[in-house]
Amino acid sequence: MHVAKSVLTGLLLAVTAATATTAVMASRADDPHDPVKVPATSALQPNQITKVPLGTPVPQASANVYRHGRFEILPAGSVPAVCGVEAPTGAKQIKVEVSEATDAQKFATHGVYVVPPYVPAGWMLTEAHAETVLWSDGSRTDSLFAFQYERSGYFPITVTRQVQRTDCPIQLVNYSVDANESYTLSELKGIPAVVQHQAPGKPSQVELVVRVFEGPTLTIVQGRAIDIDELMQTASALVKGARP
Amino acid sequence: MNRLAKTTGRSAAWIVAGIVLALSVMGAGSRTAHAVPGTAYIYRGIALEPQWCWNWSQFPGWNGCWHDDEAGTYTAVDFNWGSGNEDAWKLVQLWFTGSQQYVTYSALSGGSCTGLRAVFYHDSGRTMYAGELHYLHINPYAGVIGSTNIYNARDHYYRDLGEVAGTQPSGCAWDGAHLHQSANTDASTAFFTNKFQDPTVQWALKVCSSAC
Repeated sequence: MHVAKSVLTGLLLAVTAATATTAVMASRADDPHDPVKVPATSALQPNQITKVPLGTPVPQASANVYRHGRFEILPAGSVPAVCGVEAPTGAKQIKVEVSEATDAQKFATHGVYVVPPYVPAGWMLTEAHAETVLWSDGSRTDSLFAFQYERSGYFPITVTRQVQRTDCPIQLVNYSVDANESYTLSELKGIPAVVQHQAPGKPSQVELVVRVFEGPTLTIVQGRAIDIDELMQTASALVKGARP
Repeated sequence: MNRLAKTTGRSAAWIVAGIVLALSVMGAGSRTAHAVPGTAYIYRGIALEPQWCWNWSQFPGWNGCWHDDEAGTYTAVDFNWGSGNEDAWKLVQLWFTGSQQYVTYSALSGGSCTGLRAVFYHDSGRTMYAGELHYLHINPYAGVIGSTNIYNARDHYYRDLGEVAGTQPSGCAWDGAHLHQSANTDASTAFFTNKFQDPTVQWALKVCSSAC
């Protein structure tokens, strides 16, 4: 009996300890990088994704290189060159400082920081991301700023503004004929833009990407399973435009 | 006093046993998880041994290699094969075990670093987004970007993606040759981080082919 009581007490202690241990581990799931999964059931479903942007479609699997403003779309399977940031004369990059915060205002003095004047209704800012290049001559270049917006039941929207060298093209790579993605050469306020979207006739939750280049700044708006016009409007609100 | 100490010691032993039990159950779950239908397990991208990863210690309680320095919700590991710049030109693979997956490869959209994205879908038509992997600071092989794959179910699957880069463009946050491998673990994705385990030897991420 004494032994049974001891074993029972021990088991209770063991169960309590096990429960406590599991609870501690589970509480770590509160970390934003380990979120409770919420399927994007409110986002557009594939059969609802049919709209394509206005502009000139780029045929998938074309062997041609398509040039549109500073953009180049290379044939599928190509390896794109990546433009870097303009370096001060004679200077070398020492490092890139990366900072993140949920309060974007913290980065208000960052050189590429511009709060998007338009974001689709319902999406809330969840992350601001800033990058600054430090050069060997002691100077600094604010090189990239990104905002992430989220809405429960939908996919996130990311708005990135990135400084690029002005002497090289922005190279994108076309998709193969069996891909669900394709490109359209478009314009925003008279400035060349390239829009990635679902290929015509292939409704799919592919990544929707609007890219537009103005001055030294490449603006990229990314989303998924949302009206493409919403993302184009978000990008358009961030460029001044060619028209007076 | 002696009896109290003995009782306390016995209780402590049971508590320890409980903790061990809890951890072993959780550990067993991760070891036997390969049998879960519809789930694939993704491993480190540098193909060769030995391996190590940079200890960021960014997320309290997690294995120290996990970090996030990309825009958006991406959990990442910086993998090295060696301790110096000898990582340049090491082979990088998408490597997973488990259920079949449906993938499209594309170039990265933001930033000044070279690399590619492997975008996963739940279905063979690649219409329902599941999440994506980033392989950064690599030189992709010709033919990969813009292509698609439907991986048939089998024990292991590899695709050669490229090689670790020896240089990166200005503006890229980079401090020597290594592979930065990450996954979009946002709430809307089906990607889960194996956060307590060493990603150089264990599976690093799992992706569910359906809701899980």
